[in-house]
Amino acid sequence: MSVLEKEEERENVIDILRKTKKAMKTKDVVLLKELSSRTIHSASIYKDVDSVMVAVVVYALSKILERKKYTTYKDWPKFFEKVNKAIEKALIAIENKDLKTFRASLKEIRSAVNILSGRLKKYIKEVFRKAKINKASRIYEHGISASQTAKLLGITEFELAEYVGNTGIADVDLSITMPIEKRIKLAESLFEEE
Amino acid sequence: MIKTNKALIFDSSAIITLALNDLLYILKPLKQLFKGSFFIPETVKKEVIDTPLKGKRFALEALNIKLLLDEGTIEEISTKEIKNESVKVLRLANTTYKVNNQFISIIHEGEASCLALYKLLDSEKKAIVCDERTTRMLCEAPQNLKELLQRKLHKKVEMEKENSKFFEKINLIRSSELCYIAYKNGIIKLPTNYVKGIEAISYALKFKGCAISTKEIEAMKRLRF
Repeated sequence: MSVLEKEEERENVIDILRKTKKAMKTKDVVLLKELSSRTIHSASIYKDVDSVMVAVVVYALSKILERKKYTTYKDWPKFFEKVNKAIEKALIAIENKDLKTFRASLKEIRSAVNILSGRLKKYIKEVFRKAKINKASRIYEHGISASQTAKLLGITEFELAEYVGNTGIADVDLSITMPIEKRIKLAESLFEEE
Repeated sequence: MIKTNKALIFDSSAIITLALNDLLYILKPLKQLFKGSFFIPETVKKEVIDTPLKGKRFALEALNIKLLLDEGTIEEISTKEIKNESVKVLRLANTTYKVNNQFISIIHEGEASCLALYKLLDSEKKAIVCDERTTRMLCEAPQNLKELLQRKLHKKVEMEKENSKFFEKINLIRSSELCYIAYKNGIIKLPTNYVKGIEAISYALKFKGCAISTKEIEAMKRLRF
């Protein structure tokens, strides 16, 4: 069962997609970033792939729009139109509780990259990859293990480790579960001769 | 039960931190110093070797880890007992925290198999080497994990205390403590003093995923050998 079968979660995604549609028109990158965080809680609780994909796609769109240079490529208008159409399709599908079409439409957004060529294709593919890692780090930050998170996002634990190492996640006081002196003593005691 | 005099069980997170820092070489001399076994469960082997080998980005790291496995520095361990115990561990861990009447699945097979192997090892001295923080928090400070989940989810989280008892008294160390021992024993050689050396090592590990805080690194710098 998808979490989107729950009315509250479905309403949340409908609201996110409506606002995403508007933000795409106004190129409101800040709003898109905010929207991309709104399904992370449910993704963390329910391990719901649909919620994760919404977060990844919306975050990737914010990063794509952030780079004004991308809009100068000749393939850009085609790509932008295809993405907007897919968002509209996803919105109608989720409003009609049609999860199959909803998922296919989210996939269409990601596969819109295939109509691109050259550098832009490479750049945008990389944006989607990094968006997955970014959202994975947010789920890890919520207290879900590295292995569980990597599986959910379909990334390797190596990618996640490199990313979270550069965040402040390990510096949260709650994460310090034993004084370092005690842990070193424990490690040394393991190495002591019998 | 699996009998061995001493054992370290490596979770994928710790092996990954060492691999990303080109520090896998410390494991062979550390094992000689340890005089015991270095184990990885089958699921961890999949995470650190099989999966990255399917792609290009971390294939070299995976091959370097495979080298350690092939030469016997680390040993893969897979038994029916471990699989059965892992199922139990997963069930207990993933029904420890509840929000909105929904259990939160916090760990996956890799971490569960390390915990299962730990429980099954009949050794006087044993520990799990784990760099990711959720497993460590579950074992050492389940209340902290509850608070973290609550803080992040902005919702009341319930904790099943009976479940969390299963994870008590499990020895956990990180790659940072292993590297401290390696540095102290001259396995890691750096052309600088202790403070600069331990700082360089610890931050390198932190930046590649080891869940060690800046406060802990600062405390480590004051320790000396």
